[in-house]
Amino acid sequence: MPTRYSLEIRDLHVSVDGKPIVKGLHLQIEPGQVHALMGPNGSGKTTLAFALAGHPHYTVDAGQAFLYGEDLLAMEADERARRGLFLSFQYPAEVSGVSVGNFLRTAVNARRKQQGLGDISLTEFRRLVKEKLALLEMDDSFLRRYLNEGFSGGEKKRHEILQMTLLQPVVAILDETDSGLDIDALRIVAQGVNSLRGPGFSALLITHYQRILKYLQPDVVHVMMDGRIVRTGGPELAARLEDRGYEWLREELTPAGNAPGDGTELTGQGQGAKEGEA
Amino acid sequence: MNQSAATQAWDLDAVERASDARQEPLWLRQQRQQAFQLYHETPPAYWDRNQLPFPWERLQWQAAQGQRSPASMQLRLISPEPTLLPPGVIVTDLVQAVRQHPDLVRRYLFASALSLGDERVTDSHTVALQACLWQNGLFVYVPARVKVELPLTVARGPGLGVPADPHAGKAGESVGGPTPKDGWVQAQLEHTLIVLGEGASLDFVQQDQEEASQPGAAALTPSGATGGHFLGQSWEVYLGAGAHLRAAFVQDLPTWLGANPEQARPVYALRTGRILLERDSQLELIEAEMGAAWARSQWTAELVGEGATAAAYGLFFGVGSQRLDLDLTLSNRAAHTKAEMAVRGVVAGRAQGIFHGLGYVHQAAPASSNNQQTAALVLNKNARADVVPGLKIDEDEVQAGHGAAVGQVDEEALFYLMSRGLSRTQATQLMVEGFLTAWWDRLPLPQVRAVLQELSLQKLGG
Repeated sequence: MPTRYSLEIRDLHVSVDGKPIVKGLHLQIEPGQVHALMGPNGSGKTTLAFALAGHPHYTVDAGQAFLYGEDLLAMEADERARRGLFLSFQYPAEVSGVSVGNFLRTAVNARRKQQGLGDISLTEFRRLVKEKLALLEMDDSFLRRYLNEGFSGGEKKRHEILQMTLLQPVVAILDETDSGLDIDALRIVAQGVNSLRGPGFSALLITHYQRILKYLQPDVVHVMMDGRIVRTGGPELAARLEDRGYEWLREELTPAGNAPGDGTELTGQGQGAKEGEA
Repeated sequence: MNQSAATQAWDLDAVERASDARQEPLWLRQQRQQAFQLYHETPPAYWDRNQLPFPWERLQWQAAQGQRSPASMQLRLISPEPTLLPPGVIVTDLVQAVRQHPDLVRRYLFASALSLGDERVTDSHTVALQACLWQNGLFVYVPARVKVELPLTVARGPGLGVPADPHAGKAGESVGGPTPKDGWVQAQLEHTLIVLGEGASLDFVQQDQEEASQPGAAALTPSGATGGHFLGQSWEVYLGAGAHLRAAFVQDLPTWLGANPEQARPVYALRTGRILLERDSQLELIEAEMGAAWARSQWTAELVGEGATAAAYGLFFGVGSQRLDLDLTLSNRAAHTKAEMAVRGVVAGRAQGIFHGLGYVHQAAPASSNNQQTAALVLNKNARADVVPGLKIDEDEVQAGHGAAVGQVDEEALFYLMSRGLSRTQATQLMVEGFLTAWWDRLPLPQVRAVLQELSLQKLGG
């Protein structure tokens, strides 16, 4: 089905253990765009990310989600990934005994199979992975370590981005990939994301802070509160949040419902997102 | 042939008739008779959590009529070519060995498998059955100071090598032989004797595999039919002073056998091994239980000579409704002996895995060590693993310990792998591979590691 959105979410409701967390969320991302999703703790950002990736503990109660027009919610987690959805985990799991190299090659081949390609040759894989390791300023010895086992916080994040650059997703969701990183690591992570930017790549950056946005320059910024997107704007919205905090927005939203008053409201066509409404 | 005899349980007459057919010498006939008596004197084996799913009396024992089991079920030497073996090394069918090397075989055959001094061994009921009824098997002899460089590989299955027993049936016969009558269990019993002289060394790999005769037979469930196929296997291993054996026993029999789905019957495998280690000898043992519907493997290594060392690596890997039982005993009976056990188990589907480990340091074994380390991974809520490590220490000055862990598959890790595009099967395979990595890395025979890795992938649907 032809579509103008790489990722489209319509009135999504997600609950965890029977508790509603995401409560009617709309989002539209156009191919090539980078959107930032900001919001205070507990607003449902991570829940949204896991629900989109297909985590079995997150129940979608209503709504739809499409990846280039394909019904994302009808697919198992692995199929979503093979079709080009990528989630960079905030806390990636450790798998003892499985080397990073072996895992990466298996994942690359799974994605290639979906694209109708054969297994990558060992030579080609080595070349590719070396290139990406260099981009992320990581050492080759990384490949021989066990998956996330004993990794520092920064190593885990870089490893997530390494996977992303190898798998070349069409839509990437980065769940607080910036948190806990020093400024150098932040620059390197941003470098990894920027290397993928182009018409065939879109990203949803989930973050608390504006600082990563200096390196990544989002096209659209959304603010999520209590399970919905309450405000959408351009990069200047992020700057304002940085100055004035979420309280400012909360106060502003409370008296008049969701009537905005500072020109950052309902996004235009080009920004491809609209505010959550029933 | 007497038709009614075909469905009769075995008795002393039947044992005698089988000895006639094989023209066995008097000493062997007497040994079989004594074993028959011992079998009836000893209480039936009680195996914790795992009883044999049929009564012993229901064994339909082919050799009672002097028949041979089908060639495809017999063990053969796969490699190396016999001509490449050093002079003096013997690898032959045990029936022939009794004729060709009577003195040698008589000296070792069941000499210590049933009792050690006055002490009766574990599972003596089962060993007695084997001593009484064994039909075929192998004799492997490496003379003193001879080192066999090429690993000796023996296996069973159609189209492999030359039959070790030329009297065996034709290879084209149906794989499981005649279908057992309802309620009867068609038995094959074999015994393998391995003797290493002083300072000799050998790598020995036995793979018990058999193609399931019917595609999809592995997925069958019994349709009310009873009976089955029984493979009884026993080993006796003697390591002379300073000898070094690296041995692997891989049991990957099909879970079901039959010429067609209606005739498919479960496969039962009962294995028992006894290893005697003289002064300064070294044993590295791999026992892997992968196949059969019901299986039990019991190995005991007796470190009777000072300075002997034994390392045992056990694996059980059950899927479907398999029930696999592994029982290992390493027994220090002399000073400065070292024993070590590392066991891994994986169960999926509705499979059950059972492990009993015993490290036994006897009183006459000062300055010895005995350590066990066991871990099992349960992939499914209907699968189950029982891990029972044990230590018995009658000596003060020893170093001994055990650790055991049973874990479930980590759901978060599974999701993480799947979120990178790996199917559930691939993700599970990778996690199992990860679970076993540290164990693989310790295995003494690299070619066995490759075989086991491949088999474990296949078991999880790869």
